[in-house]
Amino acid sequence: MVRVPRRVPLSRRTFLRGAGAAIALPWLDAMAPACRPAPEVPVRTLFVFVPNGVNVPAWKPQRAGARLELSHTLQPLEPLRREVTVFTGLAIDAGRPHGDGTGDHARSTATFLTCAHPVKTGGADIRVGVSIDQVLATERGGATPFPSLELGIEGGRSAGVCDSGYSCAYTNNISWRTERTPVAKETVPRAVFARLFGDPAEQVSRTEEARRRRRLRSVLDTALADLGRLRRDLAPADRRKLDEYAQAVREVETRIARLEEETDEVASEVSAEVLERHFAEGRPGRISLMYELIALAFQTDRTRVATLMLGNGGSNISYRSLGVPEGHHELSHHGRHAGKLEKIGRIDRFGVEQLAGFLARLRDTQEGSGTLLDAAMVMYGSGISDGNRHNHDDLPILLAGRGGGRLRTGRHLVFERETPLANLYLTMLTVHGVRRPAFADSTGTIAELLA
Amino acid sequence: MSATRTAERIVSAADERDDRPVRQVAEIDRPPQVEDVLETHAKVVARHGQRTTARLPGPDRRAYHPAIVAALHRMTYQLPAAALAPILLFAAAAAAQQPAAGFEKDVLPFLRRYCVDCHGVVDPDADIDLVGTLDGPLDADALDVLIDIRDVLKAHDMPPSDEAQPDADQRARIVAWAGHLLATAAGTVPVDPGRVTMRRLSRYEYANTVRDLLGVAVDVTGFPADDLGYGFDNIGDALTVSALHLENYALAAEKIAAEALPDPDGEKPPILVRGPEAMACSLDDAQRGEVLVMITNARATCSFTVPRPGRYVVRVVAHATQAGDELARMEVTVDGTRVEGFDVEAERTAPRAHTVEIDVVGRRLEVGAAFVNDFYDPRNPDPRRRDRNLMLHRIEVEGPVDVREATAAERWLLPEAGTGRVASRTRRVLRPLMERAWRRPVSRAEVSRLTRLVEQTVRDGETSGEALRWGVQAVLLSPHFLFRVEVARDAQAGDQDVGEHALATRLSYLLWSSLPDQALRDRADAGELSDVEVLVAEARRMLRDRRASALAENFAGQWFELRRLHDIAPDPDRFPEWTPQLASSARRETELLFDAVLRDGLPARALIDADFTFVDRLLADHYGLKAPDGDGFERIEVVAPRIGGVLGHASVLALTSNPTRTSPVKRGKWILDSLLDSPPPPPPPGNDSFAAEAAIDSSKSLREQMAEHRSRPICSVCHVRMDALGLALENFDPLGRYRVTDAGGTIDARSTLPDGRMLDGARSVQRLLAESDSDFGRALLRKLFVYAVGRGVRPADAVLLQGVALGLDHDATLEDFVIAIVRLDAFRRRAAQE
Repeated sequence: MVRVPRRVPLSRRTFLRGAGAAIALPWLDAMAPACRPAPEVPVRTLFVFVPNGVNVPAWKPQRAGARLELSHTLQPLEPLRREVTVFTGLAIDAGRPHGDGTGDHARSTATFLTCAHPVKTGGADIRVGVSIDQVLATERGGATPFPSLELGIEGGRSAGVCDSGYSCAYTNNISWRTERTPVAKETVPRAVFARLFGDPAEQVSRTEEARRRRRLRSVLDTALADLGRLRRDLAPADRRKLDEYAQAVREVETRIARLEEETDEVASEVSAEVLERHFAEGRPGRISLMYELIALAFQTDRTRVATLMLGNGGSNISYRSLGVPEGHHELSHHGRHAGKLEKIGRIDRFGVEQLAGFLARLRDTQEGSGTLLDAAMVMYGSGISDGNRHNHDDLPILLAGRGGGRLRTGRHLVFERETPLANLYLTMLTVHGVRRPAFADSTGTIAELLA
Repeated sequence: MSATRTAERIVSAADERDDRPVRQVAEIDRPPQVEDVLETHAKVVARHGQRTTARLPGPDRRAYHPAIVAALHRMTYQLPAAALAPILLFAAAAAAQQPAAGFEKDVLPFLRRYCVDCHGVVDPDADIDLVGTLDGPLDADALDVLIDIRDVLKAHDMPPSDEAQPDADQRARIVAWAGHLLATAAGTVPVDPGRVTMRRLSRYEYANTVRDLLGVAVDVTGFPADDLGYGFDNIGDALTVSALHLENYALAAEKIAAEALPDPDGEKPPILVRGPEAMACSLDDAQRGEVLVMITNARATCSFTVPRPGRYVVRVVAHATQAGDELARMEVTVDGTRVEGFDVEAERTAPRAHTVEIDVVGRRLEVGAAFVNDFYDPRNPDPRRRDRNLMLHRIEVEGPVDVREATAAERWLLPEAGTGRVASRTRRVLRPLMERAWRRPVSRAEVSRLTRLVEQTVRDGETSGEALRWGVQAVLLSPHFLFRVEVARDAQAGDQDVGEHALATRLSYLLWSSLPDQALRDRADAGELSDVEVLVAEARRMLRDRRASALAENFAGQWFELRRLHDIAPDPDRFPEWTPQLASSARRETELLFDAVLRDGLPARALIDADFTFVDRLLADHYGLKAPDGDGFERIEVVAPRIGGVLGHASVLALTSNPTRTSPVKRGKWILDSLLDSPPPPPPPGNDSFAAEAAIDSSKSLREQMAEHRSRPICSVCHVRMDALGLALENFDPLGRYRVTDAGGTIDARSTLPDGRMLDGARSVQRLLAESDSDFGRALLRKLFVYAVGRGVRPADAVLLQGVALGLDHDATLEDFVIAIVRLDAFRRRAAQE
């Protein structure tokens, strides 16, 4: 059939640079208006969701304290020890049943970034709370083409029931724009790339690109013009759906406007073969590829807020390449079986290795006088502690990056039991300069974390 | 929250001292949720599992649903009330003919003896009070509990095995009593039609709709997955829209418009030209200028993107210098394959085009020209005859030169345009498109708005054909297309018809997962669908259309969870035979069975006990059967030891297995979930199945493991039934092949149901599910209801559906079931504005 040309010349929106190469970022350029002081390097924030909890003893660092001593699972972070804070003792109370019975995987997923108790429903009246990443996207996302980026490794379940009595909306999503509207995630790396930078398989001239944008804008304008009357005729539940639509339209319009404003010319070439090879890789490859795409999105200021689900709630992915043919969820019900715990540990450690690779990539990327990792906050963890017990306290959580110099790192912080995870989120809001009295069930910020 | 209410509920908590349940009154601050009621049976069963064990952590002590408790009160104490007289009279009358029970004589004592001890009230003294004070009507909630009572008694799930048991006759009479009461009451209890949240098109529906609207096949696999609700992907509340969706719709609309109107301005086919600078040459240092010089055997290639697949003219313009006794030889290749060879005679001053016509399959091609007979003779006296070289000037691709068949959209829409100004032509094209795409008549203002968009686009410098494509995009990106919009006809009125066009749309998406056709639209335009017989006649007509295969692919694909076949991962070391192709064939077999049962007017239960099935070569080989002659599927008779119906299909048997072995538990659970819509409750916290399995000695045979599994009181309540169903299917391996032995020795496919009935092999399960007493029909109705209406089954709906199920004949066809749903108020009407 048709051969893919070896090297595809790409327009500026389709560029991809080799790892570690410095790219001139818009806000550090001489292009910044002279009348204003040099803009601050923005904080970039990523939340990574781990399904099914972890092997707790293998995860937990032995001692609390100012010098982080890494556990077996966290060992791959050794080169980045000073950049990481590990938390013990944080809880998401909203993940507990509170009279709703089973369904901890759905709850652990729905509450992970919202810390709000989801309404137990198979479909009607889906409701939980606004997630922390979406608070940030709303408060700080306006400056970038994508207010936030939602990625995952697993698509949705294609049939059946996701978790006893809970709609799949709860197990498939961690990002919630409103308390009723989850933000759909992208699970195909190639599509993520195309979304951020343009489709490498489609060569489009700049004039053609501008034309397509103009076209989409006017089409969307026409669609929006229609909504007012329709909205009046609809029942409240239907109105909410229409509002979701209108919100999505406006978001795409804003993005088009942002992309049109971009004047920097950062031309590059990408080897189609390299891309193809990346995209063809299996699931473990997919995780690192997603991280790479997030790094690129941060580096090029496509977005400042991202979420990544390493699996849906109760994910049953098998990690065959790690010698673990069993499904992750099945295995997480380990019944204290040593062999199963060891395999869970292997999956956990693999996840941490991937994370370490990503953090190293950020650290090796210069940005202004520091590194991209200095400007970043990467929160990583699970909404369940021990998969066998389904407990929502003593959660495995860590935070990497210095949040633009506002965070103290390199420690293991142990909290009193039942300290809300929301306290960490409130602290992260503070780092972003977003002042709020509280987030979900937070009781205050974590002072020890702030520099 | 306005609906917040406080209800009394009974919490049974294990007493620390003697492990006996004590009861206390607690507050609940949440309105009853539909799924709670759906799970009522499950929870009742689960309670008993928990009651027999040690203490459970506090928050997991699950109370009965307040509605159930209240209903049980009424059931127990209030049924004799005068309000119920007609119903009870009926029940009594029925009892005279049937071995059913009279309430006072049999039911009340039965409930008191076997049920009320746990499902009763707080304080025996309060009994008297309640009888006096609770005198509300026997409403849907109460009847829903009656369904549960019937179910648990029928299945022998209640009373628990460690409690006093009624004898078979007593049990049967109460079951019959409940059945009769339900069959009658279902018609008398007022049920509002409920509300359906505006549904976005699911991925499958989007693709079907675009296919039927514009004749374009669109790939929707890249769209975000639709979140499921109640096991289906067309539930309004669970179908959200985010920017990611919109981007996908925008890109899709662009492609669809381009494909529907590939040549909007009727332009001449372009000639694509590549000069030497655009050629990749196998000679690294090939000399390039006006020509690319090949001084030795070499190949130059360049790629082209053409407007569409079709026939194209390739021209390679070249000249040569000659030496020796042959002319310079050039071979033209397309995508690496030689298509033609030429002797190149032309000289520098008069390069010639060497032409060949080719068929292009995709949209890209790589054309190459190779110099294949290099020759060098430095001793030739004539210096101009010493070196044979080939010089390439350019490569051209012209076309498409074949006459393209008009697309469906062109045939349909472009004749509408006629002549005249852009605005009027556009209007004439857009109006019919909008009416079909938006599934309703459109207003002048709506047409004008899109027409203005097209006009403005022309003013901005686009051709009118190109601008029309923008109009098409706008139609496809409108909420009127992406959502199934249903507007209240009268916001003030109470329950009302959904309206002709909304009803037509509900019907076409139920049957075809796509938009209404012309005939159905005509009915709606004429206002005839409000006549339920016309609606039913339309439904019957549409079920005969090939588009009704959407029911097999979309409805059965979700009902039986066939869609998951591509997600399951049998251990590749043990089961290398499992391939995506086999998964597709297995899925297709079940879809074809569903389709055949529907089209041949067979009883719906043929889905379980059909004596035929469909295989292609791959599947025949897999089953060890004689392969059909052709490439496709062939209908064959099923002979023992295989069984017909879905329980004998590789699809169902594989998706209910573990990666390395069969799972009787999963198979049993699948039967309860899908075929009986009676899902077992999730395992109590801390006692889940995986932990239990882990604790079981894995050296024992699967059957022994299961036995151990069931011996645990907390598990046995549900597992007796689940495992019995699953174990009887053990003669089918994890990929659905028949076997008589496995690693544990000869397979023993015998098991015992909670009611003491013996099962032996798959055929016995088949019989059990297909018998007249089976609740399979009710399950089918409930699943169809969720799929058709796009919301969960409320208690009131459950009662209604129970009544419909009891009223349907044992030989009722799939079509009868579909029609029964179409006749429901919930399908045809909408409740008053919230």
